Amino acid sequence: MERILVRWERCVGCRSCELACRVAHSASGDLFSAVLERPAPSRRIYVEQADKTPSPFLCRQCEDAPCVRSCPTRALAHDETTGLVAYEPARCIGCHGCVMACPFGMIQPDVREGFIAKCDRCKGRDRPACVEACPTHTLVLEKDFLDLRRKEAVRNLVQSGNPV
Amino acid sequence: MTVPELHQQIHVDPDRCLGCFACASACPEQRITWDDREGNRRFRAPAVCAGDCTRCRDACPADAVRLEPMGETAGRSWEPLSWSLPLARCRRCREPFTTQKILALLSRTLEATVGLSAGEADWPSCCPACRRDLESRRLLDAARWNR
Amino acid sequence: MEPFLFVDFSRCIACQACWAACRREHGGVSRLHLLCFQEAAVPLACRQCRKAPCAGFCPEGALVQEEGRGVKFLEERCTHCGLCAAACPFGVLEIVPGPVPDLSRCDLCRRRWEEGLMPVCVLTCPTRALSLDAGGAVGRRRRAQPAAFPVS
Repeated sequence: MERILVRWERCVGCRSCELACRVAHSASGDLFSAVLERPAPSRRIYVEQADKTPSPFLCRQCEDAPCVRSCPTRALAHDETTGLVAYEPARCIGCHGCVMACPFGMIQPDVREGFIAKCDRCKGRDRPACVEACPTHTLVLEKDFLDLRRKEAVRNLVQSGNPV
Repeated sequence: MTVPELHQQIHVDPDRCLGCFACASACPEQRITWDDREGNRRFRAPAVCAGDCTRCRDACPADAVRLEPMGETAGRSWEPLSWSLPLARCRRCREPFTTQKILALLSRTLEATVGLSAGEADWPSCCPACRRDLESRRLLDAARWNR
Repeated sequence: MEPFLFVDFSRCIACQACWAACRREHGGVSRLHLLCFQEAAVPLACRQCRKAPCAGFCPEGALVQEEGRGVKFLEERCTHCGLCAAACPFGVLEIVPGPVPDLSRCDLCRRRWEEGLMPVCVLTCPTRALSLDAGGAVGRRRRAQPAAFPVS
């Protein structure tokens, strides 16, 4: 799994990621049809204000995840190959234990596929919808993050008139 | 000697009986009794019931109870019925809490409904008190971050 | 959204008020179990599972998922066989022994619900560790206070 990193200082709180997440997890996968879908498609990313600064919050895919520990039927399990905390709707009894257990508030009850809504890093997509939708590049994939950091560092050096 | 038609002979198939207590709960006269002792759940029932109800038979989830109207008494057994089923012990506290048959049925049901195979989770083989303890420890453990 | 008793363990101060209130409301038998540990307590009650194992194990279909109201117990169908208690993963569905064994299980104070009132435990909890909001407000608080999660 490639981690999604949040450059929270860039977030303007536009909620494009939330919208993209809902569309990506709708039945149609299309914005205009998704708006009319009932029950409304759920989001798995949340933009919250913390100290007057908006920032997107995502499932951290914890190694030793409280949600995995709290699941009585192993519907939530750590996937060794992808490194994700994978949710298997067929195994879920909908006991809400994970909702109570998640310390980040990233799991919410849902009524669509299975009984919870939890970030699955957009199964089947090349890049997660939220990363693609973010206009300020607050959400970036790990390798892009490092690329951007390097470019930024080089630009700063050039601008300061002291090229290496 | 003939007895009133209302009399019925009770037949219980111990192989079908799960060891629940639906029949005992259903009997308005409380003629079917059970107790847990020495690793077994032991049931007792009269051979013949003078009532005309069929509640024990209707309540049985395993169709283990059969009622036969009694016309003739000749050749009938008047010996009270007694059968027992082995109890399952809690994996943690070793206390018996239900019968092995019920636990096996639960295991099969979980496998069929949520794909949980035997041994994959710790709770099915634990008693209710231990299940509560396990669950509260799991949740407390999860909450250790925001305490 | 389906209601269930949301327990925010970070707020519970182990005062046992919920347990006492439940006991008083339900005639001396608390349907809420309070497990006390050295420095914490955990209130446990029926979780109103969406695909409840107790409902799946009941041979008479006496426990059913009611839309928007959690798991409903249909007393007239119950044969008091006790299979549901064997199936509950959390041990919060109990059989009260007696000539006719009775079922003891949190129904989110259904009687009060019909009168438009909240469950007694939710009302009694002084720290609002118990709520019915399906984690909405709690989730928001947990997300909005990242500083509250010390990184070790």
